[in-house]
Amino acid sequence: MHRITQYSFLVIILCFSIEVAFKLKYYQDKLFPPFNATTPTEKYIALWDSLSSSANAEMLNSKRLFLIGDSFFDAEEYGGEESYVPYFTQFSLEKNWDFFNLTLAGTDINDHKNIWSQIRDQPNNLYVFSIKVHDIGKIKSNDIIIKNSFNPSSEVSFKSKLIALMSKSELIYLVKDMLHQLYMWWVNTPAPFTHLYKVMVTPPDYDLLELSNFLTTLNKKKGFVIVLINYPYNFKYDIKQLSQSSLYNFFNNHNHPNLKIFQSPLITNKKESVNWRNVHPNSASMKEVFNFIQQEILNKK
Amino acid sequence: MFYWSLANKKLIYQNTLLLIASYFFYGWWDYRFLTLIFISTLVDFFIAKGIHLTQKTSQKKLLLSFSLIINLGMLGFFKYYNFFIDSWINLVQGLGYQVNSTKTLSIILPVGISFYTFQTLSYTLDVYYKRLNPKNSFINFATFVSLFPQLVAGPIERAKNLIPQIEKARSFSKEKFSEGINLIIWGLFKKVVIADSLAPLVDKIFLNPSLYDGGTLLLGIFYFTFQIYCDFSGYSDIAIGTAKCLGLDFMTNFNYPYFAKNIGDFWRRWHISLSSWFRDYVFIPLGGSKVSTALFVRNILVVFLISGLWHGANWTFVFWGLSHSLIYFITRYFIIFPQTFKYKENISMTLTFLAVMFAWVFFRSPSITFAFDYLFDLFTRFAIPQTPLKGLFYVAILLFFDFCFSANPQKIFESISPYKKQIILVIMLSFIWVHFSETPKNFIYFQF
Repeated sequence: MHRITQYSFLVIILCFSIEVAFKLKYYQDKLFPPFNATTPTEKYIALWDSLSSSANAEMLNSKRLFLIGDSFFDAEEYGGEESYVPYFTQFSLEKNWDFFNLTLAGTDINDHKNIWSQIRDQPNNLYVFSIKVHDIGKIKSNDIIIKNSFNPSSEVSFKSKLIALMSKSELIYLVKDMLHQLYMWWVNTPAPFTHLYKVMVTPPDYDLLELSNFLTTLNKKKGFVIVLINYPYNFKYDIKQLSQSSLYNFFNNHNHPNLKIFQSPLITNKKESVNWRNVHPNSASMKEVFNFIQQEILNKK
Repeated sequence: MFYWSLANKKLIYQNTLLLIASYFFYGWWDYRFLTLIFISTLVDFFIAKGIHLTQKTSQKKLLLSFSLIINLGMLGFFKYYNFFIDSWINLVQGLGYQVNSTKTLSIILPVGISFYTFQTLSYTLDVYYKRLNPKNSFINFATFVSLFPQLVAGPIERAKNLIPQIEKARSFSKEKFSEGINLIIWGLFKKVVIADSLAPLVDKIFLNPSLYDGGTLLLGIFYFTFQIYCDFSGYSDIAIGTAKCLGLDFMTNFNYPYFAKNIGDFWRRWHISLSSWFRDYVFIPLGGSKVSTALFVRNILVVFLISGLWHGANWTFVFWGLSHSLIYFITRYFIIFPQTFKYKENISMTLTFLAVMFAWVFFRSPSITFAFDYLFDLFTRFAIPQTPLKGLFYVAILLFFDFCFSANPQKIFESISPYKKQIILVIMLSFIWVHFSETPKNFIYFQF
């Protein structure tokens, strides 16, 4: 009995220690910027400001390639070894095209949407646009949409309080990640009650409507647009099962003349991420997806 | 397992395995530099024999000079060539002359060259001073020079301590193996958890100090003080622990240096294998402390100057070494507490810590001007820092463990009950696991 108590105490110490270690590892990380620090959105606007005049200059003969996206295009800040940027830079150089890199880790779909609206319509432009599935549901339309009927009495329930408390625990987050991985490995679809499940399997209609409107906006631009839908790269998807998911079908059923949608990593079935918890593609996955996109661009040409 | 399975057979097999493993370890980084370590080993093995066999002092001196020229020549070329060329060009240009023809070379610094050069030199010097007889087995000697746990960042072992252990049959000891594993875990904890967590904060502050207030700059130095300690002593602990697992005892390299009561005491606790090397092979041959005050001052200056230069080919390291000598003289000749003063030890310890901490600015800075600007900004723009305070928690964790452990740095769990030891190990291992990075940072002392 004494031994059981001792080992139980050790297990408690282990859990507590992991929790503290995680908390300490990320403690105040975002509160220590240099004095002139800017948010990713501000940096992104500054990036566009520096490129806008050349990107919007009128040119009828030469082609321009725009890479617009987030950390799925340029994951270096998130521990990735490579980014798509050097591939596209080299590709543009070989083709003698102007290349505009509008990718920045930390930005989201609304940042890209904002910049998109400022890019001048030109028929020779090529765009590679990243949408990460986590951003679906975040798109802000110009009209105010009330997504949920807010009910104060249900919000303060014990269950929601408990979930809010548990969601702050790094250890629970880790266990959840592990269970999620296990579930994906076993069933090949995201685990129920996760954000990914909600987005991929049961996306709300109003989110899909917003997304549809956004894709129509992308299609309206002159030129040719490739939209790369980035799913997390660390999960063991089964394409057959995913092809039955709402989100996959939604994208598959979208046909626009100026727009081509690819769902990555499903397009190449390359699913290697930086590590088991880091969802960004590793360099091998990037290379393969890049080759695919490159071929699509060349075919279009 | 294979190593210990050879324990019951001939000792030469075990040592040959160690030698092959050590050369493989070193060659893994860049096999071309194996020739350097081999030349160094070969030269000192035969020169030491020559020194021992020769009766004439002049011939002994000639042979010793040959060894010094070869060893220090290689070290000088690979580590200091560009530094001296650059300094020479700057000096000549400073005097108003034009220099066109002199060029620097793209030289890769062989990792650990400063460490194994000093180790092999100590053998020849010990034979020269008749403290040691030359060894007959080349395998044993080559194993001593290249032993992999300490090859790239010390401790700089002495032949007198290590060769007899290499020459003796070693059998597996569960107790020693356990001590070794404990030290490896402790070393990893210091490196992975403390040093690598403080490193990004330090790097960020030192990258552009003008962006921060004085309080944050002070934190930058404070964190670097512990980063470098945990980085280097962490490596030493891993090396000592690995050696223990192989049945060998390395010398202690760090003995709670930030609890030193004066700068002399600090150097008896910090990088002990290097400071004792300088004491035995530079300071004492120059006359040590038993000379006139002027000569004593010279000896101290020489030792600290060389010590600074040993750390790197940059004037910042020279200045860092000299700043330590300055602190030494000030505390020796100007700060004298009355014998009866109650808080003498505590105040001495605090002052020594602060002096050492501020001296690290020169060590960490890319140039001397940068270091002075940093210190100027620190004092003229001082404000209580709001961030990054998380480093303080890491320092607190380090101090907590330091207080838990025994005074013997090689047997940290000596005074702790087995159950408490289990708790500490669980905490340390979980912290190491959480902090382990996909992009690990190199040990700072690998560059030396």
